[in-house]
Amino acid sequence: MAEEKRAANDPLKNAEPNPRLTEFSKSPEPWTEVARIEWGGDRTHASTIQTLIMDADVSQYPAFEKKLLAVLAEKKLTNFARDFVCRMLKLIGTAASVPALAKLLADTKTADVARYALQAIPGAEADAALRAALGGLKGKAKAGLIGTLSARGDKESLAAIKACVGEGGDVGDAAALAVATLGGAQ
Amino acid sequence: MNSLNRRNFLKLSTLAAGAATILPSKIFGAEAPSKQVTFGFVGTGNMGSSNIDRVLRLKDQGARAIAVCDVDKIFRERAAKRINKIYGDTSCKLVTGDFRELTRNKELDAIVVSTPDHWHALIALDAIRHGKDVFCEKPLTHSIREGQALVAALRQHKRVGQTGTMQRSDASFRYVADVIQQGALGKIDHIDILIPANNKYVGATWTPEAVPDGLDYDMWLGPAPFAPYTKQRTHYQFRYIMDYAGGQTTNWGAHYIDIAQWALSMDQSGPVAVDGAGEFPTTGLFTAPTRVDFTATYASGVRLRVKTRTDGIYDGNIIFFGEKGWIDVSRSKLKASDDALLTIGGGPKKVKIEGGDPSGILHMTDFLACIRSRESCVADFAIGHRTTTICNLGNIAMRLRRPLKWDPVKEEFSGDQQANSLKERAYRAPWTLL
Repeated sequence: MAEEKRAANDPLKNAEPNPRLTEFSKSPEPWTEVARIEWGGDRTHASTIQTLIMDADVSQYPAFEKKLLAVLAEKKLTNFARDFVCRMLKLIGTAASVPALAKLLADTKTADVARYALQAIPGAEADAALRAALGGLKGKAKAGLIGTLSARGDKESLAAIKACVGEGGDVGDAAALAVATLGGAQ
Repeated sequence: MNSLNRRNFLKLSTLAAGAATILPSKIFGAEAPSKQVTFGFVGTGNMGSSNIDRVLRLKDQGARAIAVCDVDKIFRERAAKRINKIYGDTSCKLVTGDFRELTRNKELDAIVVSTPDHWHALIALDAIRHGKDVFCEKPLTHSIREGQALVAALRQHKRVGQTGTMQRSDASFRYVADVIQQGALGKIDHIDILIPANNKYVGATWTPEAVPDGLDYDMWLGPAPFAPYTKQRTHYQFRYIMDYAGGQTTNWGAHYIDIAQWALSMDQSGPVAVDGAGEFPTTGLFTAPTRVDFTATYASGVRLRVKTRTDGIYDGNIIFFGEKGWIDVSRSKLKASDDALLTIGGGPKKVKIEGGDPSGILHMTDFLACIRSRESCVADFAIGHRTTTICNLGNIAMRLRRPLKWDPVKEEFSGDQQANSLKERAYRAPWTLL
């Protein structure tokens, strides 16, 4: 029992707390622990967060989105955790997540996980972030980005994608396919 | 029976009758069209190996295996060696780890896709876009969006596509679907499907390992999110990791839900609601449900419940309950509330094929026949897509743990953006769907 809840006449009032008993009340915080999970490690804390999100009412999403973005901003975030957070943002992410995801999208090492979320986040902010990245990415990451713009049916990006067809390789292949899709003939 | 099913029923009956006298005799060879149909195989393990066998048995009907692809060198070399040994020559010369060398090869007529599920759609699409006919293992695709893209491409490029749900070519299942369509049970009230429990297990943690020599792991992952290699991720066990498959829901559900769709004449449509309560592992390598339990409800009111069986039998079964009785069918048995239900029109037309599984061989035979006739296969991709969709609806409902409304015409969840986001996934670069 917490000390402050004891009545004044309780004989244990002001008694030295037993450290063994205070240990009982301690519990790991999944939102902190999740940032440290490595590939292959126990992912129970991630599953706890996933269940919280899956069971949440829509009105709770903004608060969970904030918490996920806080995890994403952790300096010592593992690759597993970044991947996990992006998968959760796919489910509940909004325009509020776009700036953080856009940063990840600009880096070829994290562009894929950013797209896992951005491809599903509705709205003009996500469209704009994806279009903006087209000029910066190269090679495979750029090809993947073109696939995401095409999957979103983003016709506004058609002219920019057309200009990529001549690049050849993965980018050229992805661009040719996207032009056919967005242009109306798959 | 609708016209498409009647056509396919008659076609299969003919094939079955033929196969009984043909295999392994050479009589069929004399009747076969002179043009060879050349096959390439992408994925040569487990089902890939079975599919190669089935095509090899169709040699006298003009089928010729000339190319194999597998990201695992050991598997592809073994497959090529086997083909050449059986043919007694070296005609299987194209042996590669990159499927595009097959899908874009002008010498090939048909591609057989037997890879892990996360690759099915992309390989099949590339093949279709390059003028190939495609046999694709079940479940047809990994996501609902992939299925839509695959069906659209098949029609646009006028190709033939057969889903590997070979129970469509099995006498007992065909019989049950047919008699139910003809009203033998009266109005169907509900359908119960049991699927096997998972048959592989892992602990709470796993250790990343060095990729073995000969395995192109980057290509194995393909469009799936990056994750370090560990041996239980690949080959058979991939089916219990949701980044690559849908667990037993799609593995066995693809077979048995397919029979429900067939018997209900819903091949081009699907249910209007789904509700589920499965169990998923909370740690460890595997992420697919350990217990499946979901119910899909059709506009007619028919409830289709899919559950994990607990009796240890590694097979599924499906029981149809109608106003006139019930019929229970699986690969090993056929039972009914009244024996008269089992002998309508003489009962199932069983076929015996020496040393082989009749349904698997007949299914491949149907694909070969359709390549020549340009008719739709008994498990055309549109059919496979609708069946796979129900499997995916079940997994999505179990994951979200709430009732979902599904519009089978628009192929979207009604008023649920979160559920709709699970109809597709973004791919690891450079792979793209559209």
